[in-house]
Amino acid sequence: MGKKKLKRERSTEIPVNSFADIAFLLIIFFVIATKLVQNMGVITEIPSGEKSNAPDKTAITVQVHHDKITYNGTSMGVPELRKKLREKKLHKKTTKERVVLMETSGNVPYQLYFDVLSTVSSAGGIVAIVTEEEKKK
Amino acid sequence: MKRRKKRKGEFSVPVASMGDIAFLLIIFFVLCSQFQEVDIEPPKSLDAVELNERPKMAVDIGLDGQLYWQGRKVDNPDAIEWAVRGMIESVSQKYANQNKGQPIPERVKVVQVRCDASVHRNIYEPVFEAIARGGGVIAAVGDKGDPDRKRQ
Repeated sequence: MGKKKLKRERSTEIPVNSFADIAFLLIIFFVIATKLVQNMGVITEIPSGEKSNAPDKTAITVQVHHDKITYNGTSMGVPELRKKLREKKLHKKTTKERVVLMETSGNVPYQLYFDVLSTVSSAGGIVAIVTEEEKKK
Repeated sequence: MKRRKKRKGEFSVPVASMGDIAFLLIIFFVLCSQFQEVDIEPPKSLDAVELNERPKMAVDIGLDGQLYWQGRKVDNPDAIEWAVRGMIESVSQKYANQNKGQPIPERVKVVQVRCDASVHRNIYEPVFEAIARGGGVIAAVGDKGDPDRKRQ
């Protein structure tokens, strides 16, 4: 005497009840993972510098060697450089007078380079990078 | 006129459209997200200012010194120079056709540069020079803060 198993009818519908839950979980993931970035930085106009143009001897010169900053021959840190450049009131000067020559040598980390670049730009200066070829002239 | 009778004590929040709203939100987040492919620790400066617009051109310099143009690896700064030059020329032509006689706005020329704080000069300086030769204006990305303070 065998018992016959009753076959249940299988539903062909796709279960959608949990879709909303999954979607909200995904939203929570995106909200937590998203980092709203407000870009900070410095916009600087670096002249394209035709190589025939020799650097202007009267222009302000900032030299960065390894981790040392020299402004017109005097060694100083970034805060002093900021103060000196702001005293110059470059914003009120002509484009030519605003040019600040930036000479770099040795292993200058980008941190220091960026700091000097930001300081010069915020003071109203236009950075002109002095290339190796120009230094030799 | 028949009046519908409200049964006392029955409150139901309409949840049928919740799933649709949730998926619309997901689509919004996916489209708006910008994934960072290159891991960079930006430099800090007290003089960093807010960059209003996200430029159309972007150069990344990774910790290992690898250069990226619009998220794709490039071999040398010369490739960046030509890419910047080409991009500016094509945008300038479009702009000239649309606005006859008007000068091209500076924002078109802006190139966003993201570089790791510890990268050395022999890597980033040629890139800066290449962008300048290509006619681009550099927007160096960094955080506002005291560089002498250690990152948390």
